[in-house]
Amino acid sequence: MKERNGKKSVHEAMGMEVSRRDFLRTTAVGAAGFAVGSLPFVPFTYGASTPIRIGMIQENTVGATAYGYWLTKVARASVAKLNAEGGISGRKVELVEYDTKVNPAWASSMFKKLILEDKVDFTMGSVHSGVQMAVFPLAEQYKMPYIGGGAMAAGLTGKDAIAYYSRIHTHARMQAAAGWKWGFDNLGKNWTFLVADYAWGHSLAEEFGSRIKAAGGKTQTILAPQNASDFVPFLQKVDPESKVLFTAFLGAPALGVMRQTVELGLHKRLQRYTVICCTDGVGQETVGKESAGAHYLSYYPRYSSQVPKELQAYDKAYRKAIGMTDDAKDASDPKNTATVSHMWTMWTTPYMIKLAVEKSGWKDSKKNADFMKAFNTLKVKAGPWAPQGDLVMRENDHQGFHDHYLEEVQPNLSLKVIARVPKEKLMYDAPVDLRAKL
Amino acid sequence: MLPDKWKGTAFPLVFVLLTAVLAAVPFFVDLFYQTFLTEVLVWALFAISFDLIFGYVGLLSFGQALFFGLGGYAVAIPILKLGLGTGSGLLLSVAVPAAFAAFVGFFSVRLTGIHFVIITIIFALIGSTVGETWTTLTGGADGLVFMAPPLDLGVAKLDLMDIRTTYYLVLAIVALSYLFLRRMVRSPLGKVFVAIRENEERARLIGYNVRRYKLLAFVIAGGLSGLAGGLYTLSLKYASATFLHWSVSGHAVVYTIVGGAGTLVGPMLGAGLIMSLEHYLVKLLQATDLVVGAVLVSTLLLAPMGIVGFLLGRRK
Repeated sequence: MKERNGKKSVHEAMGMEVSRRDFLRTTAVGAAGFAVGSLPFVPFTYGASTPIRIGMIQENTVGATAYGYWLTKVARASVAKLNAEGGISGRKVELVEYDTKVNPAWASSMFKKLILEDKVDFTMGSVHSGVQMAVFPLAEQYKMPYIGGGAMAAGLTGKDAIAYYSRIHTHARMQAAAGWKWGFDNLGKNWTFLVADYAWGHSLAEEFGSRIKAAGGKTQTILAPQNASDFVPFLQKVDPESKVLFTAFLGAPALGVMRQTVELGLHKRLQRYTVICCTDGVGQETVGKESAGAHYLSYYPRYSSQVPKELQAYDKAYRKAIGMTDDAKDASDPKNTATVSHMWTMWTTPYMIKLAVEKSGWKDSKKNADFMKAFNTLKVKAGPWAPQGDLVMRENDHQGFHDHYLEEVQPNLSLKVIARVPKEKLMYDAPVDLRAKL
Repeated sequence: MLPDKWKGTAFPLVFVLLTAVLAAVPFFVDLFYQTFLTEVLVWALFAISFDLIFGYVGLLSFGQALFFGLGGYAVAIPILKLGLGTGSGLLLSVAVPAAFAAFVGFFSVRLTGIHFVIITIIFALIGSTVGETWTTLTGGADGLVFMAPPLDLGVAKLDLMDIRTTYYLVLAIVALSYLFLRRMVRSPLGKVFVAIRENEERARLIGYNVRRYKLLAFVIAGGLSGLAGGLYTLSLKYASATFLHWSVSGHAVVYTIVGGAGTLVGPMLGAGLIMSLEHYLVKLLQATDLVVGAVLVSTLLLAPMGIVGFLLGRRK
């Protein structure tokens, strides 16, 4: 090489002549050395069998992105742990992910892509009931096992249930079963439901309300638009005899209704109660001082200090694996609060897929029905894969049962667990029987 | 430019050739691409229905989602709750949205410009709010899942659970709809539409009842948008209040502007291009909408009349 533009040639720089043959020989020897040298560092090699592919849809853009971020993060960590432990039946696990854009139609396209183009073996994810409903026909048509990830519509494992869908976590009816009695005994007999005027709000008001009335209590339901910003006109309608104000809104309106309840002084005469879905993924510092004294029904304690003692070791390992601090913040971003009550589903689901594969002898889609039968009879014991505690699936409606918690907002805005509702108390009659459909 | 003697035969030849190619597609591509093309065709139908009122009459409507969503419900609700067949559902998917379009259009076509845009958005918002809250009928945001019964054509029963059959049904309906619209826009009626677009005042002065013609275009576009919604719902086996949201109209707007308004073939091309772009991009990045937005902005800057308009040598 000649010197150009004042730069030295390779020959000048290295003080040696390098022929093409020398270069190739050195490179080959070097590459071989690297290859041999790296062999001891390969942690685990899988057999020649193809990987097991899990398709996942999550709300990563447009809306509900806090859920999408955390559920995706947890699913990736879960799959990484599975692979580190040898995969599923000796096969590596691959995660194929798509965004739903909180759009059922788009999600349906992505689900088709997962099944027909990416050729995934199992599917999971999404906290949006509409999205899950939209992909039901596809799951059913292609006999594709689909494990939900956070959607709370009771109908998904009720009137709308399909054979190839399972839900390992709570929903509106189970929440009512878990929370109505505690609220009725501890907060008051007369309730006002101020809820978002769409399916989710309606179902919470209906599920809680019917139980309150059946126990001799009194209820009032006020519907407000989900995107409402001014709740004063609705709060003015609250029955003066009401003792409990149960609210159900998502995102900013959830904070707005809490603040305006305090501004109007209603918090002095009303006990405030809601489900954690309203502010899961929202830091208490953001919810604000107005939340002090409010009660949440949750499905996993937000703070590690509030986790039951027998689960704390598992919880600690889980938080470390997913990069979440003891106070439920992202280890790499202290401003980012985790959706603690929802995201554990994506930790446990891949492991349950592994258990069901092993139990059913599943090798490919020909045994999907057997896989579903196995999955829906699983009893997962509390452990590294089930930091939320024991989890029991019911084969009739493909619904899972786990413990719930009542958390109260303290004056310092932290969430303190004041009661634990064991899963045995949440068992309601299965609304459907899917056993004959597999 | 084609010689005059070829002009009469060029379109039929191209149309038959293109339809034959599309009909042959299932023999060469896997199931995923068949479902993907089915979706492209459905959105293309939605786009050309929008092109009728925007590209030919000059009315920018963001209310087409209302008719698209209604078309979906007109298929799903009768099948699910009334036990009707798929054929009845498809007929209703045209009739119900067309009837609603007559009602909405009665008020809307009295307005022009930005006022027309706003009133169509308002009607779509009303529709979407009703859809989300009347959960017993619509399933709200969670939607309705149904299994489509076979489509009884008398001579044959089409199993719409079969991807290929659904593809051929959609292809046939979209092809016929395109021919119908093409015939219409090239007829004297179509010339009146264009006259209204170009100079509404002059069209009125030479004796045309402009409002009536606008309403007619609005109703036809509403019916075809409903048909697109009905076909979409049939292909998904799912209907939802989210289909009624005014933003769904944005699909038709984008496809039409990118492809070329006032050409019919442009919106179809736009739908194919944008949806293919999204399909390939989704593996690489999540924010596919950003790329679509960039394509839209680039088109507006570089080819204001869309791709087809650009190819035809049109300039603003």
